[in-house]
Amino acid sequence: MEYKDYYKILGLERGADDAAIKQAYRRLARKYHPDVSKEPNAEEQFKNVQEAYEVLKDAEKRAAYDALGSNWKAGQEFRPPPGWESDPRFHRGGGRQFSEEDVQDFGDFFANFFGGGRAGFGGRASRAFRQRGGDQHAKIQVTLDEAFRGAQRTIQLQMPEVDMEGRIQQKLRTLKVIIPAGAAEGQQLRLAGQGGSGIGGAPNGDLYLEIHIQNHPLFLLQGRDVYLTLPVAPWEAALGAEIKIPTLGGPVGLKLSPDSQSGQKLRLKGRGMPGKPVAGDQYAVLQIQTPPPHSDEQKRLYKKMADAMPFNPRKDWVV
Amino acid sequence: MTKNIIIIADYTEQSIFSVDELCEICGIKTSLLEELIEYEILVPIENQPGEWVFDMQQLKRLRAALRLQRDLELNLAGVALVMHLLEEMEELRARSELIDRHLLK
Repeated sequence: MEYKDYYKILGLERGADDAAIKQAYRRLARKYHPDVSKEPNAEEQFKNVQEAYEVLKDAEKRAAYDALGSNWKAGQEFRPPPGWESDPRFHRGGGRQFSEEDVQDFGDFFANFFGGGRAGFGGRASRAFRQRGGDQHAKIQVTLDEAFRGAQRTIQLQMPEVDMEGRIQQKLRTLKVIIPAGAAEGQQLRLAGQGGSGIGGAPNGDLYLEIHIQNHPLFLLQGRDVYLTLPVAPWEAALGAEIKIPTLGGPVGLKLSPDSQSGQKLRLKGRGMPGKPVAGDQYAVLQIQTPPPHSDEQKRLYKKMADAMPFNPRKDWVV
Repeated sequence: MTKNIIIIADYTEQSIFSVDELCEICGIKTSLLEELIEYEILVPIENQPGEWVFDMQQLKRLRAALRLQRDLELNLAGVALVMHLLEEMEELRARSELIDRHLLK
């Protein structure tokens, strides 16, 4: 088991008072709360902050933690001092701010000292103890094509299960996930009773699956609409053209009208993600690319164009 | 006991929750759920006469609202505001990604 430096996690000195602990928690909660934060590893960081706060805000737990000594370094292999198991300040479940589910997600270090009678060094839960199983969360990665067409995916998950002795063991579970055509980013599915197992006859937790659609090299999703950059040559934009363009459902012909400009959006109705009541659209965003003149002849061609076509793209400026 | 059971997770099945079901799943009282509806943090599905029902999206919102309330010590007006702003930010982020990837090359 690795030692966790709760003071360091909250950015505090060992002697910090209660007000400073609360203030540090509030500041870090704003920074790392997974519903709000875009920081990398926000979820993991926030769990650590919650865990540290859970211990340090409670005078007894804090005293017990402090009694472990201050010479440990975070991440160091940790051996508890002899006799700690009989110290009543450990294993106190009361006064918790966070839900059982959150507490279960705290690391080994917390579980062993403050796990409140759950599988810690003691190893077993008391018989009269009843507790609903924790909810589990899993993400399913799909490509944009899979989300468009629908897909089946078999995934395996490590799930905690409580055995007859009350010990938590990791069990491998296999899930066959049926993803409908038109699946949306972040779409959740709840599998009732498929989460962590309950203790003492209490119900199991639930399993939540969340779809995550991977980025596509060409297409970008905006709700149900799909955007594509359509690069065109200047003469195609000027004179019009027929262009075959990719869509999620396969290539379609698109008629580019003369005098088209960069940034213009062309709509292909109903070619976006399927859905009710109507499917999304695909938009092709025009991007005129200027061919670089390499040879003298090509340079002369541009010069000739400049002479033959008086054109000032900055005519609206007053400079 | 449990060897290797295959669980079927079918996204094509629409989950619908009643008030009681939502309260049980999240371990909250009906009165809190009613308040969340008053603050428009939760929106029941329309066109359902009689009792309120909710879809999966609303369960997701409910869980997020409860986390924000607890972890950031917000009142319900604060939760409603934060969730509204988060939605707006999500739209703006998507918009800026569109501009970065498809208009500013």
